[in-house]
Amino acid sequence: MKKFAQLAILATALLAKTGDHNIVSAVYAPDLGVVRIFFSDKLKAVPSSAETTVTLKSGAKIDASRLVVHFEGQGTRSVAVHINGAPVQDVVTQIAFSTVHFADDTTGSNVNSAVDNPGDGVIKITKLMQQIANTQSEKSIFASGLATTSSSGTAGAADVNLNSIDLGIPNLKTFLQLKKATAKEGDPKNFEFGLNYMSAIAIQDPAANRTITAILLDFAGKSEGTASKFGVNNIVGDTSVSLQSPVFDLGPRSSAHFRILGGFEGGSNRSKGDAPVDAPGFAPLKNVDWIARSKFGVEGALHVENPMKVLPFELIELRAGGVVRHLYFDELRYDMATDKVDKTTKGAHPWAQVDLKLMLGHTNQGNYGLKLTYQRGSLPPVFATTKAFQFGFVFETGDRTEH
Amino acid sequence: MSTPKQNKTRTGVNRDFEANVASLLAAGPSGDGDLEVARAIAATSQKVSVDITTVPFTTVPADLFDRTFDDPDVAINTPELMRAFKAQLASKLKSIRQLINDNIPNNPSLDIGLVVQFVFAALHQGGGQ
Repeated sequence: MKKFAQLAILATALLAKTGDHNIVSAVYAPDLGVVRIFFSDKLKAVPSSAETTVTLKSGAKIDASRLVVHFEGQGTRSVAVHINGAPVQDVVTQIAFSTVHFADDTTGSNVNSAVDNPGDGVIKITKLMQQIANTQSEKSIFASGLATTSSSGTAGAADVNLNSIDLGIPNLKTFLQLKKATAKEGDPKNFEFGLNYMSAIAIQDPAANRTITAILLDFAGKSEGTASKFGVNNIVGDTSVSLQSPVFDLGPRSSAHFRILGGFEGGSNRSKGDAPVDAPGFAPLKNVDWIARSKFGVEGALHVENPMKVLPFELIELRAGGVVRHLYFDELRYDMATDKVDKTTKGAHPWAQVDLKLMLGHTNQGNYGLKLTYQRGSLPPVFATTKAFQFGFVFETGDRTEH
Repeated sequence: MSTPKQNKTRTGVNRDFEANVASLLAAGPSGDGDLEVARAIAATSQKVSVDITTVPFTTVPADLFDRTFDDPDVAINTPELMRAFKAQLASKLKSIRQLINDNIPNNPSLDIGLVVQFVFAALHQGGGQ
């Protein structure tokens, strides 16, 4: 998945173009006697100790002969400055490099930064990480859908996913999801919002985690509605367990992964909206109340780059998934013939979706291409039969780094 | 006081034996968290491998920490895979498990190097200035 609109990333890219490279974070670990610096861009060469100045709170500077500077970790954006000799008793407040040679052949003069203690460093880096906006998710095929063209005609569609509102409670997120189209057979009539608590357990056995790398646990409370017409509303608790595969290597810049999901949804119907519950012959509608559903599904993704340029695509991304919900009690159902929610249903209700994305090329601003989506099945709360294609142009902002 | 790492690739023929010894030596926390981040990524993506028989350890791709998680040669490109990576990392760095779970977003566009810097800071909070 490529990067989507991310202001922070774009800002970094713009800074880089003007040659305004900088230090993203500098942290001093007194127990190691090390200042660790993370740069906004790759360096061409590590600065020498003579080009490095470490300043203490008192204003004193550490003698350059005590400094050893080298790349840290696997790359050229992290630099460690070791302070040899007697432990530093004062607070390290600033790091400066008189000259820094960056990999893009620009040179920075007096590149400097305040140095954080580890506690402040954790807070600052956390803020930096949060600033990088969440991707426009294409989140989960298990719960999402798109529609533009169906056998009943071509029409507009809405697909909104917001799932990153930070409530200040770790691992608890709000989410909002709207799947709506004006074509009858292309409209899943699915609108959900609620809270989701996420957890995960690592599979540590090396043999086992060649197939499954983690167990993902989700606990959600949500409201299910029909978006505009009909006024049906359910309140549902959703518990699911997923087995997440690792990323499988399919060659240079190509990969695949899958996820298997099982879960349970329970709750109650809070509103039947426009359903003709008091009309003669529609008595079963009145009895719709409790909700109990089990669900089982699988989702997979294939990501293939096309370095040979055999086809006119730079990248091909295929996502396919399906989920079967089994309804244990009667629930409301939309009837396309009458254009009303005037039926009940129970038993198995599958939903399947395939997304094919063909990226044609890229510019400095991002990548562009075509996307084709096919979906079939039905989704809560009114299980409208959906059979639709979506075809459109996609543009993803963000750089396409060549390594 | 730690010493700077030297790049020195081992070329011995008993690679399995060396790998076993290195695994035992690397079983505990490494001090700066770099190795744990690399191993957690390798446990989540088979496109990434870590060789702990070299000093310092080496990775494929070699510039792993310069990349983002959703880089095609890392391919941790969904929020669910990021959750798996965090679970793997937390299991290797139990002393900062909570900080990892609470503060690293499930965002594949994150710079791996920024997460490495976060882990370094988190591991050394106790020895603050």
